[in-house]
Amino acid sequence: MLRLKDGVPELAGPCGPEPWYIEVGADEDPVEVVSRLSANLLGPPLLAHSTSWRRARGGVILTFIVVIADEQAPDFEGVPVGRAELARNTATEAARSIAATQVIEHGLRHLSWLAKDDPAAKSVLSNDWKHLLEGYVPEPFQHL
Amino acid sequence: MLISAGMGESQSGSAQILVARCDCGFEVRGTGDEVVERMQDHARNVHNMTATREQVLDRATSA
Repeated sequence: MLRLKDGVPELAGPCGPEPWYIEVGADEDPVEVVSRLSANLLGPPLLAHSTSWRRARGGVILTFIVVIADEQAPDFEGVPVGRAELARNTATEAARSIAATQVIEHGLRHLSWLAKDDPAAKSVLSNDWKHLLEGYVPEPFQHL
Repeated sequence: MLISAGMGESQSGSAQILVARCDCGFEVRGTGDEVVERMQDHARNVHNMTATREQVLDRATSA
């Protein structure tokens, strides 16, 4: 869950500075679950988009970037998100170790691509977000 | 499992005090029923998980 504070992206949400893990049942739609829980706990998100997947914690983890408005959910603690090197391996193998900061970096690069290419994303992201995302290299298809 | 719990008796020995802690940092203290109910609510509302009473209590350690 990301929001902007003074032009800097913040990781926020019910788990504060920790990644927010949500279980998705076999018969559930991951996008619906993420959007529903986000709306219930923080109010309607501006954008919810799956940016990557990886195998960890005994299952497959889908990563979602959820963007909320700048002043939304002020009661939830947020921590600034810095830049990180991406986790990389070979052209046909996934990285063996991926840190949460690398997952967020990848998600923001994906969001950078959406901000330029996707009409829906373009319509909901603020100018501050678009300005920030210009600094992230779009890599929409890199496996992470 | 995302949720871990701690259980122990108070110093008086008259009441069991539980401490349940989620990996995300959420923590609950109280009687067994209180802890189970609040942790089940947290699991369902925040993590979309169904946690049984046994799953919360079986992982108990001293408070």
